[in-house]
Amino acid sequence: MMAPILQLHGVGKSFQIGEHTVQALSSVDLRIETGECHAIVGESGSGKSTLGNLVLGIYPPSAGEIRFEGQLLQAKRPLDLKRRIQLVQQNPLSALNGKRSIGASLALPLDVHALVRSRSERRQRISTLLEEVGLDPQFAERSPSTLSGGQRQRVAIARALACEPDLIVLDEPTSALDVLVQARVLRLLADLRTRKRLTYLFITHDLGVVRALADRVSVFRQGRLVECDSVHNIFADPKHPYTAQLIASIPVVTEEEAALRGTARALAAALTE
Amino acid sequence: MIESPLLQIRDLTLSFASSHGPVEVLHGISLHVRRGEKVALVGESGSGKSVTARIVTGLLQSQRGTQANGYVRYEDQDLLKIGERAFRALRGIRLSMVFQDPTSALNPVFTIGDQFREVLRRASPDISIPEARRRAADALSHVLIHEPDRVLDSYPFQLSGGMNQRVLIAMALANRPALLVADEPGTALDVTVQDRTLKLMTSLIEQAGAAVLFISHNLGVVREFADRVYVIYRGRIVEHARTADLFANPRHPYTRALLSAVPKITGEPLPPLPEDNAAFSAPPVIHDGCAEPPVRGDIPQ
Amino acid sequence: MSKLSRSPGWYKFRRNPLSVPSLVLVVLIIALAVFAPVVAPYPEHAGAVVDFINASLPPSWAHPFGTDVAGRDILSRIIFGYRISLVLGVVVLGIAVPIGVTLGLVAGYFGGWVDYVVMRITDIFLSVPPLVLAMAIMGLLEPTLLNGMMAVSAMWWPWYTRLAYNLARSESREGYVLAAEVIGASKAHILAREILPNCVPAVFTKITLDLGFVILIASSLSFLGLGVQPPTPDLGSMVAEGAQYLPDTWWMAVFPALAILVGVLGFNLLGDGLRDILDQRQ
Repeated sequence: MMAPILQLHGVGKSFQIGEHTVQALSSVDLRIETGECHAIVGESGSGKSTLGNLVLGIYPPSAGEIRFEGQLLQAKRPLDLKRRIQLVQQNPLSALNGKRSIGASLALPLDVHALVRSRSERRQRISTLLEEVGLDPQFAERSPSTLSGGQRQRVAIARALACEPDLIVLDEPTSALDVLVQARVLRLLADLRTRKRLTYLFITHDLGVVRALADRVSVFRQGRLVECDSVHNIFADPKHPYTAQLIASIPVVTEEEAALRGTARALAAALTE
Repeated sequence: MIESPLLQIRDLTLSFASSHGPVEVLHGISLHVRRGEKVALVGESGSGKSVTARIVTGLLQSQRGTQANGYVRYEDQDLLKIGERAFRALRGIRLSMVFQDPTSALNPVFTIGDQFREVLRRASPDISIPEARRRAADALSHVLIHEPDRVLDSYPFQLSGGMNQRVLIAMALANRPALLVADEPGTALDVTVQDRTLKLMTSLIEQAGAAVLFISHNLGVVREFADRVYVIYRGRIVEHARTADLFANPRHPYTRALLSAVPKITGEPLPPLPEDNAAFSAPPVIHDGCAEPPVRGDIPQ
Repeated sequence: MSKLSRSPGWYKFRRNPLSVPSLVLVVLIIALAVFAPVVAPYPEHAGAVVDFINASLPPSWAHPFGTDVAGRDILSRIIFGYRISLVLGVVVLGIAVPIGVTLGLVAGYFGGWVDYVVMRITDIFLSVPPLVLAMAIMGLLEPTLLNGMMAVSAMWWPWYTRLAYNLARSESREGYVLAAEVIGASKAHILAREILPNCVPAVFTKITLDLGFVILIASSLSFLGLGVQPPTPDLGSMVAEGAQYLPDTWWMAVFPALAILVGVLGFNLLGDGLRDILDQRQ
């Protein structure tokens, strides 16, 4: 059995805002296997983004520890470790520097980690990256303002891939995209994960996206992990009333989904008693 | 003789001035809303759905460089011809709006109570302060706000998004408008809160007997909420059907693509969507019983 | 050129009816300043020339703006006056902008004690009325052109620090900065190659506006006898000299004053026009 790529033991995070202390996460125990697509689901205040930020090292945990491939992971980490954990953000419109060309944005990780040895190799690598995310290599010359939201998000994905990471934290990567664009980007993400043997920490509030992409799901509510199970089990047989309530609240478009939702609603009522 | 619709739009075109010359955003759309009906206008970004809402609420007509032509009638008035003063007499009284982000739609420097009184004063200019407060508290209790006095004395930033949305709905319906224009309501809210809020909105609207023009990109919400649906793509209506018909039997390639693209909680895999959108320019599909009603002769001014 | 005329920036610029005329005016003033020795009818009058025969002549074909008490052609001296003002502006801003912007960017991005120290010092400088500060510094130094430039630079940098600080703070919150941090780019890279380029448009607009104000401040200092010394032509000192002889030989004060007005107005309106392009984009 392969070692889990990411482990969280008793992780907690609190923030000091003025006089108040906000407990964003408490006592989180989590285990993510290599090659998994693990969804982190919750509404606002659930702490799901905080979890992503802790894994990325944006700030250290207030309690507990995070381990990457068995090694202790701290906020201040060596460059090579930074390279192996990358990010795709929610908002494609601010994710790219408007003053730099697409090619320059893609060149940044290549240069920071010395992944190419010559100018021609850099150009070649950028072309390959663009093709992998379904964009024409000529996009390298263009400025982000000439690209649509979906195209910019693809560039952001290409930039994350440029680092040749092992783990990618995706924080609501398709929430800001239109329905058709979202479907295309989700398929791209699924495809890339299998082809490149990546692990995804997929943060989202959208259970439909979870169902389409995830292997396992962790449900968070107000900073606590309430349920963690395979995606099949979470939908077929949710154990925690909050999970059932989440499933029962999503707007759906087919009769079959409405039926599943109805079951969840009944379950939520039953579990709350 | 069927009563003529409350809101009727026929062949509306809209263009904006730009550095490349005029850009046409609406290419002749037609839709109607009858009294008490809930009609949805569904599309992605850039489809023209939001500008349509802004024309109906009179927020675009006075903007420089905007050219709107066609027939847009609400009750007895031609919304493309009446001035801002006439719109001010309509808004909040005969025609209300609910926006996407509840907390920013409310004025941050006034309490909820003050803002509510302003809304009530538009229909009843002489309303007294205690009377306004009583009616506001009553309206808030209808949106299931259990401590109306505390809320009335609060500022928008002190309340949650869900509560602000309910306050906005209460304010929009306070003067019993005939039409409510809702632009992506609930989008900024959490799923569980959105679900509760939309159900509440539905029952209130039915109680008030108001009609709704509901703008959205979320097909799931539309399926639960609307009686009839118009699907808009790049400034054209591509499909129009009663809700049940649209979801059971979508006929236009764009509608079918949209429905298949929504990730399903029942686990169907996501379909491959071709990059090429040529099929979406197919001619519009109007389902049975959904033809646009005839336009009335002259509009009395 | 046709590509420029169709770009959205130019379109927004054009919409303000004052923008294009101010652009033409500023280009004209800069051209006059650059080509002064060639354009001015009596270039030698910019120096220590005395021609009492032609002193205090009213405007005529030979001297469109008249002559001053020393017989020097006022039009030529105004053209050279613009030259001196713009040189002063370029030097002052050339010192104040790099210092001010660097301090502001560093304070805005790093935060913490760096932010506190830099911004408190900036606040102290900003609390003194700028002209008073310049005068105070000049009072301690010899009244030379160089010292005048030093004094004006010293009062100018804090405005750029505050501007750069605000820009850096807001840009730091943007996604692309987070992305660069996650990728592992150095802080120096992020400041210089990510944040700074996004601050350039606002800083550039301020520089344009400031060129107008530098003309005004320099003129004010010279008017008070603290800046440029005779015989170097400076618009402010020309107004000061000419003011003594009002209203008889009115041209000696009025034309230099109008020149100041036109210069300041031109740069100001151009700056406003640039701000129109800028605001929409942000």
